[in-house]
Amino acid sequence: MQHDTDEQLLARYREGDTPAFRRLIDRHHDELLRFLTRLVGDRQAAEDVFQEAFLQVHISADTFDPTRRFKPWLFTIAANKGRDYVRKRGRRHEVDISAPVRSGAGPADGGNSFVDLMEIDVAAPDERMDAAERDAMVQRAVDRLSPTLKEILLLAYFQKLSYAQIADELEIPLGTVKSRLHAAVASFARAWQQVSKGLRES
Amino acid sequence: MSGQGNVPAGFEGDDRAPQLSAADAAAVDAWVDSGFDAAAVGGDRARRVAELLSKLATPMIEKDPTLADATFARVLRAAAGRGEVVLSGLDAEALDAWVFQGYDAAGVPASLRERAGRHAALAQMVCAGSVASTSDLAGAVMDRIEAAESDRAERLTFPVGGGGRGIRMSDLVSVAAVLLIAGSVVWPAMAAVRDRSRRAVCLSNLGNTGSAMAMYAGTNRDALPATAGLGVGRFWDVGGAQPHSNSANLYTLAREGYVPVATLACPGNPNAPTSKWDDHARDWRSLDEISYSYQLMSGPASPRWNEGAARPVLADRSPVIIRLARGEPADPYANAPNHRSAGQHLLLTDGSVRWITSPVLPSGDNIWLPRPIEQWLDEAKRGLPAGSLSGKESPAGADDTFLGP
Repeated sequence: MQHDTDEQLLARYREGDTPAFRRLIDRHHDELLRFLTRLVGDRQAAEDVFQEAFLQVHISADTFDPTRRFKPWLFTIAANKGRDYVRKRGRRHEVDISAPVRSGAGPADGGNSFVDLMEIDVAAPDERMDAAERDAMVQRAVDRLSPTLKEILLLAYFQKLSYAQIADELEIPLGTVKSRLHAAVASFARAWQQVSKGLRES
Repeated sequence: MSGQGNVPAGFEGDDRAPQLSAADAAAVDAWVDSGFDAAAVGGDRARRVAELLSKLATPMIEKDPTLADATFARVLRAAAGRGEVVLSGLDAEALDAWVFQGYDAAGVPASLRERAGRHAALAQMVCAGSVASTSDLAGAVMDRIEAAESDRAERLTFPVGGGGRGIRMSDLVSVAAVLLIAGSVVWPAMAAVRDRSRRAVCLSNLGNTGSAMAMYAGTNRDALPATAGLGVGRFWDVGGAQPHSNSANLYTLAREGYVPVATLACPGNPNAPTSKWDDHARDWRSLDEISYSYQLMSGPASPRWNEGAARPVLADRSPVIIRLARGEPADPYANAPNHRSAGQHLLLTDGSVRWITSPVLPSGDNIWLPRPIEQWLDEAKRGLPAGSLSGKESPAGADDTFLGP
C-alpha cells in the first residue's frame, strides 16, 4: 500500500476503500496547500478551497480516466476551485493598500521595464529575515500578479509542466502559454524586487 | 470608351481629371480584351501601356530581416509604456530552456545555466513555505464527503444533464405544494365551469324532451308516453325482457323516434348511453343508465300534456329510488345526483323547465315520493329506512308528483 500510485489509490477508493482516499489527501496535503495558499492569498481560504477540491475529486472520481495521471487532474480541479473563490471574493473589492499604483510600476518610478534576473536578489533565506517573514513577502509579491498570470506561474512552478501540458490544462494555444508564462515570471520578478527593496529600505 | 465621346458621365468638363489620349485608351481596351495578357496585345503603344499597367500586379516584397525585430521592439516598448514588464532576452531564453529540461537547471546549456538557476530559485521561493497543519484538514475533507454523501442519498438521482445533480425529496415536496395550491385555486373555477356547462346541456335536454312530449301528446289525445305491461313487477326493475319499469314509458319517446337517446342522457350521469344500442330495445338496460325520472304512469289518473295546472313530469334522476332499489336507506330530501346534488331540473306539462334546489315543491309535494309516504314522513321527520317502498307504489292521483326510477 505504501507504494501504490495515486491512480491505484483512486481506483481502490472507487471500489469502496475509504482509507485509500485519506492517503491521497495526506500525500498531496503539503504541496496542494502551498499551491492554493499562493493562489488565493491566505491560508484560511486555501484550506477551504483544499476541501472543495478534494470533495470534487470524490464526486468526479467515477469520471477519472485511469490512463491519465492523478496529480495534474487534482491541481486542475484545485485551480478551478481557487479561481471560483477568487472571483467570488473579487466582488468585495479587496484592495492591497501597500501595492503600488499600476502606472507607477513602469520606467517612471526608476524601474526598468525589462527585468534582468541577474539583478534580482533571490538569495536563500538569510539572517535578516525569518522564514515566516520571507514567506509573507513572497505572498505579497505573488498577490500583485493578475489572476491569469498568477495561475500560469503557479501551475508551472508547482507542477513543473511542459508548455504543451500547460496548454492542455488551461485550454489555451501553445504560443499563448509561452508568452503568458514569460510575462508572469517577469511580473513576479519585478514584484519581488519591489517588495524586497521596500523591506530593505524600511 | 475608345474616344473622347465615350467619357463616363460626370467626368466631362472636369479638367482636373487627367485623360488618356485616344490611342492610349484604345491600347488599354485592347489589353483588357486580351485577358490582361501584355504579350498578346498587338502594336507598340498597346504593348507599352500593357507592360506599364502589368507592373501594378508585381509583388514588391523583399525579405527584410530587420522588420520582424523592429516590430518586436515596438511591441516591447508599447508593453513597457503600459507599465508591463518583460523578461530580458537571455532570461526569456533561459526560461524556455529550463522548462524544456523539465525544470532542471543542470540540463540547461552552460551559457544560460546561471540564469536558469535564477528561475529555479524564484520557483523554489514560491513553492516553499510552511504548511504546518493547524487543523486536521484531511479529517475535515472526509467529514465533508460524508455530509455530501448523506445529502446525495436524499436526492433522487435523476440523470439531469449528467452532472450528478438530482432532485431532493424536499424539492419534490415544494413542487407538489405549489401544484396543490395552484390546483386548489384553479380547480373550483374549472369545476364550476364544467358544472355550468353540464347543467346547460341538461336544461336543453329537458326542453327538447318537452317538445317531444308535446308531439307525442298531439298524436295521442294529450296522453303522456306510456306502454302496456305495467303493474306486473316493480317499477324500478329496469331492462327486463318484458319491460314493466316506469323508465320503459319514457323510453317510448326514444323507441318511437321522438328524441334521440342522447337527449335523454344527462352529462351528469357518466353511465348514460348516448346512442341506441339496439333498435328493438324497449327500455334502458339498467337503473344506472337512466338520467331522468319520469312521473309514474300507474296511478288512478295521470297528468295530461298542457291540460289544467302545469305539473312536473320529468326531473333529474331520483336519488331516493336509486338507494331504495339497492335495498339501502334513503334521504327523502336529497337532490338528484346528476348535478353534484345541488338541485334538479324539472320539466312541467306546459313544456317549461325550471331548476329547483329541493325536491319539495311549494305545495309540499315531494317529487320523489307518493303522497301516503310523504304524510308518514311529515309525522316522523326522519330518513327513509331500507324497504320503505316496495316498488309497486303509485301516485295518489294526477296531482301527486311521484317520479321514478
